Amino acid sequence: MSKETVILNLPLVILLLPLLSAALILLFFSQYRRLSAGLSVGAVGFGLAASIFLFVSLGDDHSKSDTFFTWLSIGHADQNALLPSAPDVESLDFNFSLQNDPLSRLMLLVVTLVGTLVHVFSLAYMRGDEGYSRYFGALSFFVFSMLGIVLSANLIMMFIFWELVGVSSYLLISHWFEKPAAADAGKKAFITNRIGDVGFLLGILLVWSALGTIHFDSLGEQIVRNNNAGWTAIATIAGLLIFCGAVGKSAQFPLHVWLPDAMEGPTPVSALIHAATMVAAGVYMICRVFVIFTPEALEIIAWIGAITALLAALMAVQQDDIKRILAYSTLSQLGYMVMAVGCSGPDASMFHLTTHAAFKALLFLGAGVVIYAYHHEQDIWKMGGLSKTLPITTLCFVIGALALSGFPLLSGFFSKDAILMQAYLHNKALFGIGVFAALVTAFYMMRCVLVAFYGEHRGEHAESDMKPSGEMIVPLIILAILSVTLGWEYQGHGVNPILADLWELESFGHETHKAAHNAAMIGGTIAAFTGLLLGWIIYKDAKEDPLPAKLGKLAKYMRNRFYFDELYRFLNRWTQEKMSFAADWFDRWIISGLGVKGTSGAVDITGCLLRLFQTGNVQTYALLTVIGMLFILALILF
Amino acid sequence: MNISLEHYLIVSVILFCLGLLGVMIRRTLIVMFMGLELMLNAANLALVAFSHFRDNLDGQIMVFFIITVAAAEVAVGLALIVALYRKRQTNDVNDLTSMKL
Amino acid sequence: MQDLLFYIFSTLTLLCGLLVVFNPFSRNPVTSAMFLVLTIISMSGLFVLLKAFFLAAVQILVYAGAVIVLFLFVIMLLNVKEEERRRFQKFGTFLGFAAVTGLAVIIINTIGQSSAPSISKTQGNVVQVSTESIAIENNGEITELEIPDDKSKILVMTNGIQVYFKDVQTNQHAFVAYDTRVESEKIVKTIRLGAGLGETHGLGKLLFTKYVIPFEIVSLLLLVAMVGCILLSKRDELKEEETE
Repeated sequence: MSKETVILNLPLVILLLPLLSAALILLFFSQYRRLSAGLSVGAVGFGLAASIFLFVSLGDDHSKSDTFFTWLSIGHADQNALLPSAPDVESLDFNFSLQNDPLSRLMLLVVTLVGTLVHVFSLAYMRGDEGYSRYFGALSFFVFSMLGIVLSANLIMMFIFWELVGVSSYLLISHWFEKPAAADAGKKAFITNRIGDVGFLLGILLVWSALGTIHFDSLGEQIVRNNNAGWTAIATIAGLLIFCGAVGKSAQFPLHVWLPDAMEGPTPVSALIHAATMVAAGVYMICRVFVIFTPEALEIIAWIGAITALLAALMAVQQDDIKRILAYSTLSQLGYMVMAVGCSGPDASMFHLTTHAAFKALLFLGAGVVIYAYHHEQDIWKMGGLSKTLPITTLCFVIGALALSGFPLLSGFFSKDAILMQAYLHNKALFGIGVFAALVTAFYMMRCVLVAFYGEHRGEHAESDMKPSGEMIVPLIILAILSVTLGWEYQGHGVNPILADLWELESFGHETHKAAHNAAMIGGTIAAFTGLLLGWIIYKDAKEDPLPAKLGKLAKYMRNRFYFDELYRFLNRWTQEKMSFAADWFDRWIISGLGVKGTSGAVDITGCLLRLFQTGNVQTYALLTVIGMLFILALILF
Repeated sequence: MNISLEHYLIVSVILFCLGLLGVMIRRTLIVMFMGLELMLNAANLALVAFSHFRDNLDGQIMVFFIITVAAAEVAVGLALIVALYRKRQTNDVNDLTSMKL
Repeated sequence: MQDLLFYIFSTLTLLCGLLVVFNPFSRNPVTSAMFLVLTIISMSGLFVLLKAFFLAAVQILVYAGAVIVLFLFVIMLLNVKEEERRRFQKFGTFLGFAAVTGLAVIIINTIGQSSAPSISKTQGNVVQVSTESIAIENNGEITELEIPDDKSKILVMTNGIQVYFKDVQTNQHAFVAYDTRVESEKIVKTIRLGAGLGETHGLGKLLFTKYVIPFEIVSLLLLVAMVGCILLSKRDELKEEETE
């Protein structure tokens, strides 16, 4: 087998292996726990090895996508069916094709790496759980779907896998489905995602009708080639509609409400899905189709991202559940990434995505260790003094927190400053918001670390009963190392240069935008240190939260997440519930009552009436005959 | 005024309706039968009138046949009434309702 | 004179017919039978007015003589008493009246509206015939009728020898004899009007030539009726004797 064939088919194998594992587990092996776990880990582990191989061997090779088979072919596109100014395309083929360019390879690496680490972590975390096999089956299925998104080469295929990811996240979030809260959270996630997906699909259709193609490779060419009115008229709308999908999947404002509730799922799930991969799918998608966004669309995208970043950071300040703090933090960082794309910096966005995957997964897994060790206690005010009992975990967690805050020289610093630089170049107001949000980020992370890990232990159990095993600690360490090193470049090799090359942009640190570069660096650093300091001052040795007293009303709003859930529930009650009542009434009275029962009743009554005619009396029959004759004559003669 | 076809036809119709009335109102079987005879006669009258006013003898031939058939029918009908009377001992048509649903 | 006779006979017919059906004085079936006889006799009179002499005679012979007698025999045999008074069903009776009246009204209406114009015959003798017109003399009056060219105005009679045409404008008609076998417009012979249709003679001729098959079938029918009557009215004496 030649190297070319291997490289050609390797993405397909990487994609299908988790699917095979999921199918086997869910169909046949649900009784065998160890076998299921082994299959799952093996599938994703192989994927990791293969991804590394691809990444290393292909490097910067900008190969185009490879088509494996045509799934659906819609004839020869009729010229009249498209917009009058649309280009002449041969036919619309929905191909099952896999994209194999540097961006895909990078994402492949991210997904499989975090996936493998989470799988290993789960071996220990979920031990003793009843749905062990089911969990690993769903996890494998999720990996398959996510890889599908990363590897797909056209919008339709990406949409299909998009939906599959939604389904898998639903399965995983409501893993403990006996808990009503978990089941509700799963539903909420899926439904909110769906709302975004409607916009996404409409956007895809608009793009296809105006440009005639849905393949990523040819999108750019088509736009350049057809600088025509047909496209420019709807370009902004199409772009915004596609962005809707990202709003749903990456939990931007206003569809952010599902992510905190999704913390009902097991912690490794949160680490994988809601930190590193699924929520990043939205950002990945808008980076992929970056060429279709017009400046107006980008403006709106940037502002939505900025609002999300700020809002989520503020909400995180007053949360007491450790997982929820991390969830809001994820929301905030996603807002940063989206803002970066809006400021025409997709490379900065992807850079931050990569580093975020590392340190957020680290933070979540660390939280998982803590939860596991302390009887599933999640309130930070009941923790404290964990640095004594879980030293390694504490160290890793602190590294992750510092990376998130943008502490200099850690990976988060580089990526966040890349974003701030883009913001500075684009719009100073956005820059300001970004800096402020960075400050708040550092503040709440310091709060979290101090309250949970340092100080006196406030919970009931002074000793942790479950010591974390090696399977849990090793992933933490690996991720900690990555959090530190991902931002570094060595002789032009690093994450950042790869990305910059992809969009032919200049990487962060380049000398051309000196002012912006400096502003970003200084601003970011000051924000980080200020936040950390503030946090230190307020929360050192705090027994309970002092902020509500100081900030009063604002703190209450923050704690209650600015009442978004209540708003949506209210809207829902006034629109959808009314409609469903109307529909129910219609079904019950009109269709069932009038239609079904009415028909049968009418037939019944008619039968009873007709029965009266059969008297058995000759004279009655004669009378009826005459009457009939009368009618017929009247009909004919008049 | 000239007696024309319409006059005879009107007489025929009224006679027919009287016969029909007889069938529907009277309860004795035999009188009902007489009503039937009236109806047949009305038809005969109409036919003869047509025959006369159209100068066509076919109408009269038909009347001839009708009279014949009516006679046969009366014979058989009365035989039936006799048999029915022997079975049910009643002449009232309202008592013969065994076909009631 | 004939009009007066018509009115007398028709009134008699209708009155007696009504009394057959609806007699306020007596509910005896024999009364109804008697009035039926009277009805038939009046109808005979009407038949005579319509110049159907043979049929009038047949009517009296067969109907009044045989059928009604048969009715009376059966009434006597069954000893049919007066109809008992039962609960007077108002609704049924009223409906019956209404229906029958409605029927009568509709048909009379139609008769009145009929598009066939009332044909007034030109009675009289044909005195002169030419290829274009016919002159008819009636009580000293001579009317001239044109022979139409258009065949559609000609009503063709049954036996193909007599052609009877009608002048559409004046609504008068006359008998003209055309021999349609030869050439349709040729006038062969004229026939007198005014006399009767020669009806017994004509009737017999028609009966035994054109309608001979129905004639035979009717005779068969009479045989069947006779057999049926005998069977139906037989007492089951033999069976009763056997079971005893």
